[in-house]
Amino acid sequence: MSFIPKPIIILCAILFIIIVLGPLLLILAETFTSMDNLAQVFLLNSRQISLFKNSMLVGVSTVCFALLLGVGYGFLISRTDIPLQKFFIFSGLIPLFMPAHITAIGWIKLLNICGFAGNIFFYSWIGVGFVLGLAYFPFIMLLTLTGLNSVDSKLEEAAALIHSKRHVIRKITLPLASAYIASGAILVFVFSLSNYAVPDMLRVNTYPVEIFVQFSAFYDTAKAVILALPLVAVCLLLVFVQRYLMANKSYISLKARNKQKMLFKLGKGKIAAGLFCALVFSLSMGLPMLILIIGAGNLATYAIAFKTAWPQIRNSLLFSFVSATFICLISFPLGYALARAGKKTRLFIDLCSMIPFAIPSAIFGVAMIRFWNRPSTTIIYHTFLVLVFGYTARFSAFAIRAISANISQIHRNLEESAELACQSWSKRLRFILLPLAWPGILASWVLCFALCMGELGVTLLVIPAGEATLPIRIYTLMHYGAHKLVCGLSVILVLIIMLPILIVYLLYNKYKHKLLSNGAI
Amino acid sequence: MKKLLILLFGCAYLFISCLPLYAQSKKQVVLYTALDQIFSEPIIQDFEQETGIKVKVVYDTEAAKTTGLVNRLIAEKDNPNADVFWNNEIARSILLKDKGILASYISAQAKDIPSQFKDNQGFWTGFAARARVLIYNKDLVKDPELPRSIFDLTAPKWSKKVALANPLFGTTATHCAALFVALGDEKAKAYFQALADNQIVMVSGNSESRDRVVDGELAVGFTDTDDAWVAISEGKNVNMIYPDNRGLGTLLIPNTVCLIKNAPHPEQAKQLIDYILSRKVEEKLAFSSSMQIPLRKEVKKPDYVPDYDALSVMDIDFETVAHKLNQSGEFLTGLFLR
Repeated sequence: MSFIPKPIIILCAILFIIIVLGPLLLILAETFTSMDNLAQVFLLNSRQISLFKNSMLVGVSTVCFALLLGVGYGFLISRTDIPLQKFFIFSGLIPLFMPAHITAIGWIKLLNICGFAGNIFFYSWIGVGFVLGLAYFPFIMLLTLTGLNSVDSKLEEAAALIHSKRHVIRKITLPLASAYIASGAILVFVFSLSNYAVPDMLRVNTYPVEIFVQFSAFYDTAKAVILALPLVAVCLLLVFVQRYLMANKSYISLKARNKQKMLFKLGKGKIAAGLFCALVFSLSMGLPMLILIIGAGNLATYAIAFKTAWPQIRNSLLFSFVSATFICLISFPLGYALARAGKKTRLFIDLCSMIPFAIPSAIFGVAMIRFWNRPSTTIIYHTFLVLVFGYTARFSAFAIRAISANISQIHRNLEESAELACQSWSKRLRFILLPLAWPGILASWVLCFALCMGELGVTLLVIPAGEATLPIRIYTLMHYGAHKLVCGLSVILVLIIMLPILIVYLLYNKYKHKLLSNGAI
Repeated sequence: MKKLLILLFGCAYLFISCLPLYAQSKKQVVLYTALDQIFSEPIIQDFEQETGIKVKVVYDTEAAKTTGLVNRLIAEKDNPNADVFWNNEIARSILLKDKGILASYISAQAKDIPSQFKDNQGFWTGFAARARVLIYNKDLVKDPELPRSIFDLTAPKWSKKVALANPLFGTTATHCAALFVALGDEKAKAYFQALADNQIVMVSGNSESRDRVVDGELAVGFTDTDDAWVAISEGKNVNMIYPDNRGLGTLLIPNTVCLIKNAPHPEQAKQLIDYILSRKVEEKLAFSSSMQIPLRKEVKKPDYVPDYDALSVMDIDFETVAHKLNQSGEFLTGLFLR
């Protein structure tokens, strides 16, 4: 822990606990003290069974779709001579930054155009799994990529001497990467289990939908909180499974293709492989976007959209920029601690950062109001700082993990050498750690910026009076049938989210060689 | 590094010191409104121009099923930030009254509003109403076979052809609870059971109900006048029926405006409530694309907006309806949302 002094890490941990856990603990305490009959909530009636069944079906179908797309995609771009490899790496990551409900809107509009409005297969757990699978497959793709990069090439080469390459892939390569793939599947399962927007749009009743109903139709916050507890329990259980699977392994590798690894020649299959990746891109991003662009009509729609929604666009940009920066500032020391600290500290950070994934945004919103709306914290609740804290609570886990993954790849010898060479921790931080860790920080910033731009659930409940964001504007317009404007603003939202990704991608390509020679990636 | 830290702390200090300026302004009022921004914003701007009072608004959205603000008001009860709540319906205003979130204020502007639409203690006051109507596709339903009553829709010929929004939210929830009150529990349950048996199509909201009828996917849909009028005014091949004009009556759901208890700016809040309850606001809402029905006789309105007197209005006590919401909601959850 020589790069960042303990007091700074402790300070960030305290901030993290106040911002992330404070509101949740308060609302939990209020719930348990206000509810007379807790057992009633957990009573296993036919509705509870139906909710459990639907939630599981959504989770499993999402994982199946995401595995189908993510493993194949990850393998093709990392271990084969697929054409347009650079483009497919980039296009495979894009859905990660597109809000799942935008994908759902695109698909619903597409089905309506094709005359399949209200199709019973789409408006079911199959449809939800399909849409969420398209939205979340990049997680599996990224972990597959990392897993494949970690496979020892000597094992593959030895196997290849006596077996066909297809056999090597099936029996050596994929089994060795399976822990990473399973870990990705767990992550996707947790995300799909706590997603509200897509099941609601496709009218499938899952736990998050029921929680929303209790909260919004019956105004029973206590029951909504209690209903969220099974989600938290499942989530925490899966964190332990994931930790077991990923013991001493890194989550993310930013290398797309390790040149020392065995490369599988596709031969005539090149075109089919290219078509598969193009199809995945089309389904996840291309088609929904195309539908939105067609729906928006001509350029005049965008002009009207910009003119009428400029204050909301400006707010979204400002809030997301400040939030992403704050998240990275607080997550950097915690990510470092997650990579370098002892087992207990690591487990603590891991668990604390995973809990927010299982909490539906509506509950988070109310918890934030109860926690921050008091005379002593007016300065936070009445300004956009409350949004910054809300976004930090929701998304800092992503940043902590990405930064930690990056720091884990920096050899400890470097740390020890730096300590011998330089007494000042700040110099070690500035000249050694930051230059090596910045890809992780940058990736976290971009991801958090994108997530903040699309956030709706918490924003809706805590946004200061007189302010609004772009997603709020889009949802408001959806109500009175302003389809063109909804499509136009959705396209603008996606483009704004894409802009920093594109800049990072271009910078990466420009300075890749310099970075590689510095050992930064 | 020390210089950098000093600079960072300096910037943070400046930023935090400026925040109160951002947060507060002297002559202002905070309004939470569930009425669509497109309709409420011009009225708020007029009020600002006339009085010089700055209105800070929080709008609700379709994503929150227009209940996000109610939850926010409940959560903010101990330290309220809103001064005025302008609700686009009535049942949740009564719920807020029951939870002790509202303060009493009887506006002089409300004296000629029918007593059915205002609280006699002044906790909420209704104005400019929407009606619960049936929208139908003119290609799919011809005049002779038009349903004149919501009870016609249980007939087999309407099987799988009728849309109903989620009965737990918005005006649909109020409508369902009103039927429980008007018909009695047993008859209401039998009616909804008959609709379920007739495979009524559940949709997410009233706007989706309208859209699916406009698209010709369904023949008839339960919706509100404002949603139906959006499609009719755009020239879509649909029309609307005010159902049960000769029986139970059509349900009218007024907007309501309420003063928040311990509001930070009570005087400005009362000024805003007076303005919202004025005749000119009812007139503006009648002429807007939300085609709200004025509850007062002399208010000017376009011809397509029906006279309040010409409608057979469901005679109902809204307090009883609001108290029925949970019971009807629980029954309908079991019936439609498994």
